[in-house]
Amino acid sequence: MINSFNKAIYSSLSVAMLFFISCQYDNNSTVYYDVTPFSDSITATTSFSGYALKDTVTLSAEDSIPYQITISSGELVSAVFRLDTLTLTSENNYIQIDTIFTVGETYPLTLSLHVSTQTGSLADIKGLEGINFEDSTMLYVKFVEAE
Amino acid sequence: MKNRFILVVLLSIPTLASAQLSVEYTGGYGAYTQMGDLRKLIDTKLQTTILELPNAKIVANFPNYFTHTFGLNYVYKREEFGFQITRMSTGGKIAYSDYSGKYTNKLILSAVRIGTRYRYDYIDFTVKGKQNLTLFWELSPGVIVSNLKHSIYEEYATQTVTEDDDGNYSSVTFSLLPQIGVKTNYGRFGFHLLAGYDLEFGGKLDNGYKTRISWMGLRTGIGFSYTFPPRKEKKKEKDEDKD
Repeated sequence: MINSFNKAIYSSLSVAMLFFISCQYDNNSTVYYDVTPFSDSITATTSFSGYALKDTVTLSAEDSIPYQITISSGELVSAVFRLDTLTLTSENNYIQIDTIFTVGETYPLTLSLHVSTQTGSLADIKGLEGINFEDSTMLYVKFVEAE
Repeated sequence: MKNRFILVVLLSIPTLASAQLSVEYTGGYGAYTQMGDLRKLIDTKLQTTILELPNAKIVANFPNYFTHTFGLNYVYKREEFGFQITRMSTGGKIAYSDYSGKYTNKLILSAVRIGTRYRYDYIDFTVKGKQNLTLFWELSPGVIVSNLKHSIYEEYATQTVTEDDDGNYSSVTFSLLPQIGVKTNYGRFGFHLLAGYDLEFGGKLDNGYKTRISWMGLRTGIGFSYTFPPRKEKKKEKDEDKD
């Protein structure tokens, strides 16, 4: 009886383990939408009037830096400039620098850019299609003593 | 805990000298009629999702699903006393896919029902003078521990994103499951077919929505059992060996 009892316990535990692991609800259904893929590649060019990329701009007071972003197609969703970690305001193609940082120091001016393909696809909505990058260094800004 | 369980069973052996131990498995199907709160919950998630993915749809809405029950019983004349453990599961799913990737937002509800059981063999039907089928009824009070898990899965050409909700929510429900069925035995193996209705009381998730969890509904199942030889039979065998 004891042997039978042990057998029963071990069998029961084994079976219980098996069905516990195997029987979770799952469903493979999905809905598929036939979205037309984007055929061309998108390019974006950023330029700063009077400066080449990664040049150092010297500032002694609050100032603005003119810029131009040209995209081959799609739609510009966002363009965010940061000086070190400070997010800057940009209007009418001018980056406003309203804060003077430590004199004598040089800080990177970075751009986060998102250009959508406008296909409406999942990857486009999630920002994984088109152009999407964060904090790419465009220029360097050095603060100097005002004369 | 396991030792205590074994001790209780061993102590009860003398009182059931001619009792036999049986193990039983029943594969079944559960019709869940009270999933309204969970359907509302997945609809709330859909309303949030379509703000970003307007074409996302609910493709699974807490449907009826398979159940698995395992039982350990003492068989004593026309009665059975025992424990049973049942695993149940269902779920809801929001999905969207296109050439660029696929998105799924899942709510999976799983439960374990732990109960005691009393079964009584009510009527025997005989065919050609042999007992062929037995009509039985049984009653099983128990508790159901349910767990709701939320996960989001996104797959793109360049990457896969998986998000599991940190808060997995649980609830405890009391259950009473009366069932009737028929069974037949071939030696120590038995086969049974049964149906019943699971009645439940209480059970709300502490998830902010106070979502009611209820597995109430029709249960059907088909299964088999194996009855281990009784102690008396072993003695007989030993006596025969001595002769």
